[in-house]
Amino acid sequence: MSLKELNVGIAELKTSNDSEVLVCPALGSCVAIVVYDPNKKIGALAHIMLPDSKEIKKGNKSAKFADTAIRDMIKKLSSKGVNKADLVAKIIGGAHMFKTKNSFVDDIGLRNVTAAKSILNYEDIPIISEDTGGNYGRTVKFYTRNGRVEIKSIKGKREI
Amino acid sequence: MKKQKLTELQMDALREIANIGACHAATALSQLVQKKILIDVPQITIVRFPDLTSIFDGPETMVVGMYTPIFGEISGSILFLLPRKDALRIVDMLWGRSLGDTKTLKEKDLELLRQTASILVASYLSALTKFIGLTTLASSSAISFDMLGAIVDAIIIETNIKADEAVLVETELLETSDRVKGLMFFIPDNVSIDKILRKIKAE
Repeated sequence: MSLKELNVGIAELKTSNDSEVLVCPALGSCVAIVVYDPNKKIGALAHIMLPDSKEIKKGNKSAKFADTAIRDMIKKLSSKGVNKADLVAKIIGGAHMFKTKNSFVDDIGLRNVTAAKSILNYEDIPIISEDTGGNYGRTVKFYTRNGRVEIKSIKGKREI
Repeated sequence: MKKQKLTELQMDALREIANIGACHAATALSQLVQKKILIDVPQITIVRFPDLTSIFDGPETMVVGMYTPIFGEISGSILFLLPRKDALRIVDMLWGRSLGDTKTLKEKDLELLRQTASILVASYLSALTKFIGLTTLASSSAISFDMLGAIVDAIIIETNIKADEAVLVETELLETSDRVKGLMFFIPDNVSIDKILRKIKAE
């Protein structure tokens, strides 16, 4: 069976079934949050860029922020007949690409990861694996049919 | 500036500024590598966040990115990008090696590129400051050799964290005899764009 690849750009969110692969090319400080039901083989991936929608004024896309993206994924998966209690999550990305000595810019990658974790925790969705932080970019492929996440980076390939 | 709807006149003004800055940066680079460096006509790109990396081909292309936050009356950042093969050639030139000698980018090569970027940014900013009359300083430069998409997402988000879009003023630096090129991006935050346009009366 050939799998269909769907690209998930910055601030986008997509759901997928067992015949599809969700792809996020070259994540830097952005985070890919994967939420899926391992039995029904239905999942979603959000490519978020910022931790908190409350810091920014309204009118933004929900998938831009960790908090609204996770809630939106739960809603979209529920409407496909998935029970929230059956969901598990994986998070990838959140690198700190540039370390400046006297940077006045805080580590947005780390803040993204922390926010994603605390919201998943609040929603009672277990994080079964993660590959986050560091100072390198990652390309992510999520296979909904078996929950596998393939990560490609300058450090090589790995699976979580 | 709420929505970045720049008029032709404003775009011309930003292009002119970038031209002056890049011209000085090119002169500095030219002295460092002992070769003639030309610059292209600057381009203005306004990117909306969902399609940041579509401004380049292939988000997974390996590039060297040198990032310098800037602050003062104008704040934002300057990003100098070299595709991998061009970075190798610039390293050859900077060390005085024959072209093609550098095969991989080692730690000391990246440090050399980082320091070079600092010099270029300082030249760019001093020209800009003199021309516009707004004082701007460079923070120390940081370097990363990684996928293009990963490099730009971090920078553009951090420069314009509260906005939906970013204005990139891009100039190409070109060394003609060996066809080495690099891209210099001036990324002022939205408040700074307003300040610049007001100062040069292009509101």
